[in-house]
Amino acid sequence: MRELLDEIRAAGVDVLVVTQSRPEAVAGVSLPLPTVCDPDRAAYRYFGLDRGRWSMFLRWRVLARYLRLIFAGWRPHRGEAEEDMLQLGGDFILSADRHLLYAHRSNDPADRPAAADLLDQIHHLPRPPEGKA
Amino acid sequence: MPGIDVGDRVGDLTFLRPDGTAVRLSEHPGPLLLIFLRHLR
Repeated sequence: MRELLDEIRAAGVDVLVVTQSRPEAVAGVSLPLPTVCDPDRAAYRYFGLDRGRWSMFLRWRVLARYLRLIFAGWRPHRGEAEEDMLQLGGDFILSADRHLLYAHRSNDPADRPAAADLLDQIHHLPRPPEGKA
Repeated sequence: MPGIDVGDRVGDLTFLRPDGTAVRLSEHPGPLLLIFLRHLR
């Protein structure tokens, strides 16, 4: 994870994590990345991030992901108050002039882009002309 | 759910910092990777 972040930043791309949690819930948590809150989920809707169904938790790849997390020490919990358990996440790359260059909208909790795919996208970002960076 | 498409211009969205103050997307100049989490923990 650390190497991935270092490579992303070395490519001149900032990383910003968005959570649906309230600021009070985030304030006491040690987070490795700059994190902002969207408790009314307006940005989630803006980026077209869906709510899933409860049945998505029964998919094999989702079960396998949670099992891997549990074996790594994570413990299931209900989530922060007012979090929507069915809200899905996503990953988006924005250019410096604020156009959407890449979008991955998760179909279930296990559906995130591979690190290699993100890096590939980042390495192919349009670059500003020399002297304008 | 509809959303913006690749190639579209992204509006200047407003978020909240953990201290409760507002922060706009435009305060992060340069290319940006936005990671939307399902839940915090």
